[in-house]
Formats: sequence, C-alpha cells, structure tokens
Amino acid sequence: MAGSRTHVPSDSGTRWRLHVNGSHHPDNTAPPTKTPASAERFALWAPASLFVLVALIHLHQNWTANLNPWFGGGFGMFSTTDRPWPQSLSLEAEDAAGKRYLVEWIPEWSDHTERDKLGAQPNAKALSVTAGYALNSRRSPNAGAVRQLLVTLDKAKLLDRLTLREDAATLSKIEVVRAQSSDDASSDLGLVHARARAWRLGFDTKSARFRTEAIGEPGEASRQP
Amino acid sequence: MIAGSAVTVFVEDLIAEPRGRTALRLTAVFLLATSHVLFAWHPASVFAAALGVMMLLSPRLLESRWTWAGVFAVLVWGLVTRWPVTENNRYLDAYWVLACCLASGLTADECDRVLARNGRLLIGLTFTLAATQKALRGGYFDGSFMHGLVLWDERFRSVASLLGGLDAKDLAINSQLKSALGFMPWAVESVSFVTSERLRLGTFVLGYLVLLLEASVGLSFLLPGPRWLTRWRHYLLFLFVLPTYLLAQVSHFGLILTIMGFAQCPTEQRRLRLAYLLVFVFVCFADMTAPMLIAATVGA
Repeated sequence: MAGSRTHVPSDSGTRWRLHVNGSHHPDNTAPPTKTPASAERFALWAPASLFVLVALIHLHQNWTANLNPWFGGGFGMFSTTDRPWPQSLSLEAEDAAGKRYLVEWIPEWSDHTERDKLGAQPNAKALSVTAGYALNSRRSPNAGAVRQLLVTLDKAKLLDRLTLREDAATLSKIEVVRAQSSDDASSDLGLVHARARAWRLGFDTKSARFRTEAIGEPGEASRQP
Repeated sequence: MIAGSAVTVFVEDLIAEPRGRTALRLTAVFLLATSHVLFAWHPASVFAAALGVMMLLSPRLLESRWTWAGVFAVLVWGLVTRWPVTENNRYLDAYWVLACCLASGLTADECDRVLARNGRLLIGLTFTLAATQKALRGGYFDGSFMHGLVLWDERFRSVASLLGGLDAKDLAINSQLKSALGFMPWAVESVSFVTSERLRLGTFVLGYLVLLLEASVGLSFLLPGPRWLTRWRHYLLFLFVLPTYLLAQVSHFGLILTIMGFAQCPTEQRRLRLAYLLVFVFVCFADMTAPMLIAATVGA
C-alpha cells in the first residue's frame, strides 16, 4: 500500500458526496483519475466473482445432491428448519435371531468431522461404509437408554406428544450398542445386518409439530452369520 | 486515566486514517478475536491468530500482500478440507481476506477503492442471496421457519419467553421433547411442542420483517440506486447487526459485516466511522452478553 496517502477532496464541507456522470457513486469513493490498472481491476472484481462461482456450485449441490443449505457457500443459513442436529444420523442393527439394536456413534471419531459431513450431505455410499462399522458393535453401558427415555417421557406425561413409528413396548426392547470404527474390530453380538440413515427435520406451524423424514436411500451392510 | 487516553488516541487514529488501512487493522483484530471459531481450535487457528498479532504490531506486515496471502491460504485450506460442514459465513471471511490480500499491494487510494467496492459487493451479494434462499424455500411466508427456529434453537429461548409468553416449565418440556426426537429420529415420526398463539403470530410477523430487512440491506448495497434506498444502507446494516448478533451469538459474522461496511466510509464521515467502530466493539462482546440476557429473561 505504498504511495500517496492524500485524499480526493469531497465537494461538500461535511459530507462525502461524489458524483460520477451526474449520479452518486455507489462505492462512496473518488473515481480513479485514469482507467484502473489491470491489477486494480482484478482486485475490484475477483472476490465477488469467486463468491458468485462458489455460490452457484453450492446452490446446485443444495438442490440436487442433498447438501444442507446451512452449509457451503450458498448462504442458505436460517432459510429452512432442516438444520442437521447432532443425532440427525441413525444407525440400527440386528442379529441373526432378529433382535434389534440402536447403535451409538463411533467414539473414535472424536472431532465428529466425518459424522458432520454425513449429516450435511448424506449419500448412500458413505452411509453404507458407516453401516459396515456398525456390524462390529460391542455392548454399551447405555444398553437400556431407549427404555429409560420412554419411561421418563411417560412419567412426565409427554408420551402423548410423540407419534412413534412403532409402539412403545416394541421400542423398549431395543438395546443400545456402540460401534467401532476399526476395520479389524471384533464383535461378540453376532450382528448380521446394519442400516444407516440421515434424517431431515420439518415443522408445521399450525400444530407446532416437528417431524422427521429420511433423506434419500439408507446405507446398508450385511454379513453371513 | 492513562489507559483511557491511550484508547482515545487509538480510536482517533482509527477514525482519522485512510479507511483501507483501518479496515486492514480491523480485519487483523478479527483474525485474532475469532480464530478459534474460524478453525474450531485447529492448530491453524494459532497461525492465523499469530499473524493477526504480528500485523497489528507491524505496519509493514499489515500492508504485505504475502501476509494476507498466507491467511487466505489457511482459510481456503480449512474450507476445502471441511467444505460441506463449513457454515456460510466462513466463506465470506475468505472472500474478504482475499480482497485484503489484493488491496494490500496497491497504493492507498487504490486500496481504499478496492476494499470499498468489495465490501459493498460482498455485503450486497450475501444478503441478496440469503433473502432469495429464504423466499424460495417458503418457510418465511407461512411463518413455519421462524416459529420452528424459536422453539427448537435454545439460543432463541428469550424470544420464546418475551414474544410468546412461554415460561421456564414450557421451555423445559420442549427441551425434553427435543432430546427424545434427537435421540431416536428413526422411531419418532413427529412431536408436538408447547407453544402459544402469541408466539405463532409474533414469529410470523418477525419472519416477514427479517426477510424485508435482509432484502433491503442486500439491494441497498448491491444496486447503485435509487438514492432513497442506498443512502440508508449503513443504517439498515446496523439495524440487522445489532439485534441479530445479540440473539444468534455468531459474532464473527457480525464483525466481518461491520468491517466491510466500515471500508466504505471515507475520513469525512467521522460519525459514521465512529458508529461502525462502536458496533464492532458491541458485536465483539455480544457473545458474552447474549447468554446473560437469555438467563435473565427465562430465569435459567
């Protein structure tokens, strides 16, 4: 930024009011005395051009590839209730006897980056990889968490506010287990099938009701018992 | 006493010096103040914060294109590696740092012009695109977005209390229902939150006001005229920044908007420049005041 630090004087005593071809200059700046050099021209337009380019790519991703509008350069934050929340991804598994499990997320993913990426832009392939990890799940100290949650809601008389996809008695039997991210991790649960899904949140203002809806196809993984 | 006069001298200096240079200094402060947010405490945040300190101490580094290029490279690296999970405003940070990089190698007048133009275009594009996305998705027209946001997002509990009359018990029930939905979205098809007719109506009106304000800010910065709109652009931006960042607690976005707005104020507009500096300081502290405000309002 070497060079002159003098200012082009304004044409009014107290307010800066410049006129270019009879109109107020939108940048509130003195017009250059000569045509801007190419470096300046580039500097004047490059950041905004990059903005438009990235926004177009991410808008395309928003509308065609499930990129959540809260993320990316499309500036769709606060435009939809569908913001990924920490548990917007679910993992379920079952053993050869048909017993069902809810799989806790992989604790080794400590920075949650991979999980967050899946939540922000889920796709069946990445979900299938995650479902594969779920097949190696082990028992968790939170085994009875689903039943405990339903009991708590029932005691607080809040169960009536929930519309469940299955009855509460069936859900209470689902045990919580914990996934392991290591490929060579072993499991003593004998799980044969796992499914990973990402969920979208919707809201109806008349009934003040939030609803969940699966995004795209689930990711699945299976193995022989 | 000495500290007070030192602050006065510092503020006078910021108000009197060319706007491009002040905008660069404020951006260095921004890097220092928000590096933990920019990179979520990644080691790169230390690098950005260190560069921010060095730029504030050394005028040569502040005006060095290479220093700004270094910051831009780190920001781009962060965006590329975490691109789907990077919120919108981080992209704006990178575009503005690119503008600083390109402006810092030019003469003072050119630097002023480049930062003023980029600040205007970036604010205009951001708000126009944001308002367009809101309008296209429809949640602002039927009131569902704002109503759902206030019920779901705990940052807006004070709005639910003040606007909708929900008490601490109602908010606790909603929090419990949110936990249930979050814990097993595969099992819960829907859940009915506690609300009030007042909140429904209030958020409906609020949604329209937000949409109108965002569109006005966007167009007033982006368009060269009409004069009746563009002359109010700075005040419209203040009207957006002040309440928004007190409630939403995303001060880094407010700070970058304030710097970009400041870059358009020549030295003659002392009051406007001072107003921007005051807003900058206000937004810096907004993250700290908002939780206190929420606690005081809802008694949490």
